Amino acid sequence: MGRTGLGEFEHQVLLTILRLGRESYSVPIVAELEGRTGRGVATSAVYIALRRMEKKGLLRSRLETPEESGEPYPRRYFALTEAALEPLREARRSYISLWEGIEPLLDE
Amino acid sequence: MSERDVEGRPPRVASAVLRWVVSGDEADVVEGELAELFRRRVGLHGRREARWWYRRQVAGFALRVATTRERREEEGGMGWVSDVGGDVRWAVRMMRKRPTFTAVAILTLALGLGANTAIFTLVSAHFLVPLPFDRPEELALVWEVAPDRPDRPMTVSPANYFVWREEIASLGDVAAYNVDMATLSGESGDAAAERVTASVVTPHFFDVLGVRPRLGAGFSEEATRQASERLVVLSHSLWVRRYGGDPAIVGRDIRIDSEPHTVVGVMPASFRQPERALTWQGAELWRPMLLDDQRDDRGSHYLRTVARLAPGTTLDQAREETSAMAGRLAQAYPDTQAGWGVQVRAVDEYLLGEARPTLLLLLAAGVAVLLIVCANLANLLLARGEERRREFAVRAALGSGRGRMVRQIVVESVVLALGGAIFGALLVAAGREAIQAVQIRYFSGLVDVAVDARVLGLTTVLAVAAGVLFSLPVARSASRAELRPGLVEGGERAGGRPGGGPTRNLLVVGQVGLATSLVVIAALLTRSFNELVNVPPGFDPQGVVTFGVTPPSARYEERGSYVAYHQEIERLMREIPGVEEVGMVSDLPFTTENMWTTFQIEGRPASPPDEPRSDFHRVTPEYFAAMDIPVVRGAIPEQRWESQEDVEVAVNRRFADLYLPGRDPLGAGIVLEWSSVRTARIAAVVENVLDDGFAGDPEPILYLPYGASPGRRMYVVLRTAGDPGAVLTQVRTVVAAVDPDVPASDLRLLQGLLAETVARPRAASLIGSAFALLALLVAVAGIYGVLSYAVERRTREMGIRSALGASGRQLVSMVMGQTTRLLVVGLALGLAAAVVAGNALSGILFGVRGWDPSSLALATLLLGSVGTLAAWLPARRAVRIDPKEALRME
Repeated sequence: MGRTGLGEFEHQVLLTILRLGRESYSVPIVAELEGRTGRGVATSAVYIALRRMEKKGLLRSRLETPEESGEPYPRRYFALTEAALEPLREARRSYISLWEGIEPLLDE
Repeated sequence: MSERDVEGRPPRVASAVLRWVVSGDEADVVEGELAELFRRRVGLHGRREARWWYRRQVAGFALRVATTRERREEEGGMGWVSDVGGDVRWAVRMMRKRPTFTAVAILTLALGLGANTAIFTLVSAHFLVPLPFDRPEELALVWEVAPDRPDRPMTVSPANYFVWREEIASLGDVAAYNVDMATLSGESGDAAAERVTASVVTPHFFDVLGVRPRLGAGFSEEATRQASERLVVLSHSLWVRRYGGDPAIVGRDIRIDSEPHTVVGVMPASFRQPERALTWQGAELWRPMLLDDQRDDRGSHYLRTVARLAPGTTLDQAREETSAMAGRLAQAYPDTQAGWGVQVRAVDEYLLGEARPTLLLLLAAGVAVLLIVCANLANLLLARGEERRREFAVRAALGSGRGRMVRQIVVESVVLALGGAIFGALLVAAGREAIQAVQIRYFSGLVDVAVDARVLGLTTVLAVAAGVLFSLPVARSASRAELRPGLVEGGERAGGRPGGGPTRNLLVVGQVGLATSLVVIAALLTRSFNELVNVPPGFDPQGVVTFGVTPPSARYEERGSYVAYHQEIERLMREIPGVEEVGMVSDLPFTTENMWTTFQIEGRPASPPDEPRSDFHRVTPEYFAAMDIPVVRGAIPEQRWESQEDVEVAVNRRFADLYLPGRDPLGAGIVLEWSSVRTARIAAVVENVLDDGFAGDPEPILYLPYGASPGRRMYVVLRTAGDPGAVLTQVRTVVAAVDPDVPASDLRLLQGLLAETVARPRAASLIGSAFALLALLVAVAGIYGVLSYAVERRTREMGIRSALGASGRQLVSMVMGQTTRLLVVGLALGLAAAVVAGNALSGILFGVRGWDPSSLALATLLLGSVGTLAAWLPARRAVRIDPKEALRME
């Protein structure tokens, strides 16, 4: 991937957050990822990807305190920023162009 | 809390690990969210699977947090991990990535640190753990010093004991004691008669030491008087061994030397009597003595005394006051006191001071071995540092500070060292019994070794210091790491400095030097020990069996009765098959107990300070043949059991040289005032015997015939042919059959007795040699490692040279030339250090100078040849390099 491009795992995490709605925290993200990909996911990998993408400006987060949520622990909610959309579009374009014409070869 | 929460609680240990790994603000978030995922998991897959999943997740956190730390740091840090914790985790990860390196490093360190831990147990037992007395620093031992022997402390006369106790203010209280043996008479049915080490003490003896019996009230002056001294306090071990630890023993009567004694106490197991004569074998029982009728006895010096200094006074004050008193007594009683002085010594110095030089030597040897190990580790790390150059360059490029990298390296080294320390301590703990055996055998039974917090603390400090030390060279080189060559693959390879730079050369020189010194010292100690045991003792211990018999006075009061007993024993011994000669003597050479007497030479009267003195033994005529002591002149007197008007005696050569110089000793008359014998004529001069052990000088000895001065306690000396072991068994049976109340005590081979007296020099020699060997191995491994690495790095150069026509010989000598220089410098430094150390050791060396050419030559030869071999192996490899291969390597 290029300099501003997404890693495959980052790509998956971003898509998962989008699927889950406006914002989400790690528990549904991990569950959705595992459900969609059919593979186990290391929670720590998700955390690291989330924090890394936050640093890159692809995500923003807010902390929900126990008082606000009524849960025993605080939760960190992540949402996509505008900046995340461009690399996602770019990734989609590259994948589609790569898939063009070869889909029949891999038809099940 | 709801049921769901209890059911859904993640594994406790893993949770704790998670909290430890992830710290800071995010900890709560991660923990809570992971717990939520865990509960979902329980619902989906069951509790068991969920718990394993949770643990895997935590492990994942630990691993990722550790491996991504520099990136996080570069990004400003996420505050998840406390810094050193992260370094430690990183270090563990690096160690696991290179199991061979880690195993080698930890094993080497375990050897170096374990050796030190073992020594710490001995040092701690001797110098750090207080002696088992109340305020031991206040206790002192007081002796008299005879006029002509200022170096040899003498036992004390009863009159002087009373003077010290009653008139010296700086001595708060003084107790007297003596060491002897006692026979526990056989009791109805169970216990057989047994001869044990014992001590006779004044009633307040235990009060002076400040140790109370564990059971019973112990002695008091009044009770002792009432019971006419027939009281006894038992040692803990005797109480357990012979009386089954029965608490009802107090108040019971037991028979000692055939007389009933009332048990008034049992001492605690930790109690030790502060007496060197009891170093190897502690007293098993104590009996009280009053000394009332001996208040004015200034002539019999037989007591030992221990004093507690008065509060606030010092040893020096006590010395001054007792010396002043000795001066006054000399004026008042010139006959007995003229010229006599006093010696006062601190109890710990007296008991353990002798072991100090040996232990300090071991400590130094241990540190030297550890330094060699450190040099090896530093070299290993330097070599690895070259490999990790790229890693460090990347880190530096990513903005990791130099200080940060140095810290990482130091932490890695300390973690390695602590790993080695733990392994070493485990080895020592597993071998504690063996160390205790060494301690008892070679040092003293007065203290116990333990791998305790103190020892582990010392080991930890040493490990951290070692870790820091061996990380320094590589930390230094990493902090200077240049980025570019590190990043360019194979950067420095082709043009690398041959040999790996001055640091490494310095390390090799240091290793060679230390190993050389250790080998020299070990050689010195071994030579000294050999010199010591090869001193001819004046008799032939080979095949000689000895034991003591002491018929108790209660049943053998009359002279005739114990003489008959001894006669019977002698007769029966002659019948044992394999016994060639049977002699008897009042005390054996090489034991601490020696009787001595003053005497007058006929026609040459001398006044007290100049009165001649001599050790004396009562013997049967066959004693000399049984011991194989050669007769120099005359003939051994024939007198055996009977008393005679005219007594003939034998003296040793030293006696004749000292007191009868320039005249024929045969026929000279000797007057002994104390004995019924008025004048004895010298009938024989025999060869000198070392009475005080190998290191002692021959003392004048007077051999009185048994019949002239019989005594109850006699040692039997049997010269045997064939297997002395068979004789030992027979002796026990035969002696028990004569009188079940009189066992054969100290039954052993004379050679065993001799070996015991040189236990400490033997220990120094054995342990010193073991350390030298260890040092040699580690140093050789180091030299080999450094040279192999240097050759490997020069492979390309060698290839080019070889391609250009250099012969194998030239290549070898090129590599070897450099090594030889290092070896020579290391050897020279090591030999110089060894000479200095050897001179410092001259106090514990015997018959060898600290500057011993043969030891120095041995070390030079050994280190030189082994070092050359270690260098030659890699050099030879370099020669076998195929030039084409070598050039293609880069």
